[in-house]
Amino acid sequence: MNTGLLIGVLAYELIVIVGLGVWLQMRHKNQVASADEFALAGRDLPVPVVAVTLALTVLGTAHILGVFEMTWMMGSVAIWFSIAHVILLTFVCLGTGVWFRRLGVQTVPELLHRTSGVETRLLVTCVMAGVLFGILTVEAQGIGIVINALTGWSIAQGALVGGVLGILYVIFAGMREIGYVNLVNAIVMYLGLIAATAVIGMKLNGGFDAVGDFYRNEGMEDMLSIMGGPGLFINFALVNVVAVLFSQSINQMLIQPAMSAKSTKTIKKALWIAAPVNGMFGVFAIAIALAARAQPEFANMADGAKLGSTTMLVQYLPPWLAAVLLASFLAAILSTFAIIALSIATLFTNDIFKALYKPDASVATLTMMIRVMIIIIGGIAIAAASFLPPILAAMIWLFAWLVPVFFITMYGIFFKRHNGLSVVTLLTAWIINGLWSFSSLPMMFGMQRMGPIPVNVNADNYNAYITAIISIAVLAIGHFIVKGEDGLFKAQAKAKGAA
Amino acid sequence: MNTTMIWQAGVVTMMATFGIIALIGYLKAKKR
Repeated sequence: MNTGLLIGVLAYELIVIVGLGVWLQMRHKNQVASADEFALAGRDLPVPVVAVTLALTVLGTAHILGVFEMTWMMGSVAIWFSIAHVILLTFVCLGTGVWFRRLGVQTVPELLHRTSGVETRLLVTCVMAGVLFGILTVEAQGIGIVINALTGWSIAQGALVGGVLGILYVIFAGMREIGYVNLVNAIVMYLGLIAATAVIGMKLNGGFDAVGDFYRNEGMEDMLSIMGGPGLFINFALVNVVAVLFSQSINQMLIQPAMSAKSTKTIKKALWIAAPVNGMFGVFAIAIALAARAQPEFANMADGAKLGSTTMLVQYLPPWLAAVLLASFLAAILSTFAIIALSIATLFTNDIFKALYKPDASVATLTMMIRVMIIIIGGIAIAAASFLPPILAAMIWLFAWLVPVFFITMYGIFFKRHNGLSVVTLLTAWIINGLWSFSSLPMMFGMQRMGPIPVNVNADNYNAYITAIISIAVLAIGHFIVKGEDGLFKAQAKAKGAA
Repeated sequence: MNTTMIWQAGVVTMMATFGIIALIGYLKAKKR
């Protein structure tokens, strides 16, 4: 165990998190606790904070450790996960984030109540909360991996300790504090990444050029190409774009920070910071992972894909730099963990507890319910982390469940509002998705479910395509069959015109 | 069943759990 490193990392977390927390409490001491204060920062966040929170909410375990893992296994084609997120952030900052903020809702299902009906709202709440729970278990796995790099403890033990810290962080912090910690952490992380990449380049025999030569000499040139080996564009690159764009753009975890912005203008301006802050990360991660895989001492590690890159960082970097980098990774993952836990709790409290059980609940009761749910869900997620699904494959599978939600949301905003059609679309897509995942349906199309490692034609990668195609098909057919009311924006425009 | 499938089943179970809580609340709210 590297005690100095561990102390350095813990010191960073404490100073930044507790320090900022105290400063923010003093600044907002005289503000009355509004209903939106804990979960939405009183809808008051400025451009830099919104931008960095948007960027870092979707920069957690999947980006940091998932890209390390995927690059280890498949090479530079992993960059498509990053590219998919730049496209996503553009769509959120100019589209869905703006629309949700304008409509003044607290959650995504709340909007669906307006465009479809209460049944749609409830179905989406349950599936979205489940998907977010899945992502939370992956984030817990990520915390475990970083703590493993610092202490040598097993991933499960690290997930337990780190997860508890994550839960404590979010129940005391709330959206406002998470936002400001993100701002400080993003700056520290990029400074650390740039320095680390430079140091590793100098430490390697022959620098990064030698890394390229290694793959060429081993006949693994595909590892260096962003298009990857044969079939990887359809089976990985494009799937990433479809899955990420058509799910995260309406996922509560990313919409919640957008809804916390001061105004719609804030969200649009945030794009110029959010996209590069998120996008550039992938480039560094791939360089580091390719370098680690090319060094024999890490290449042959047990579980090298998950642990090789972080182990190289700990061993090659001077202790202070390793501390800064790992501390900032941990903070980035903790912030994602926090926002997701907060989102699940907000969904449950707003769309199930308040909507169905206690419509007259006070602000204090609702805030307490959010905190209780964070602890319960966080605790279960930490336990589930030890199943260790391969990270990016797990995320792509989770995203597929939200793809139908994207299409019915867009349909209800821009085309027609019809609750029955929404419900039928969702259920059809989800049932077939379930069959694709658990039965022998893919085998009928000549695909194998290869399990953990995605290779060529692998049923596990196709869930997002399946749910997308089914959603579009059902909505298209339904469009000509059902009457329904005008889409939400159309109806609002008409009402304004008539007024 | 590999561990990935077990994890996937766990996620779907969580969706179903929320679903049951929501269903109970929905039926209660309808009665009110």
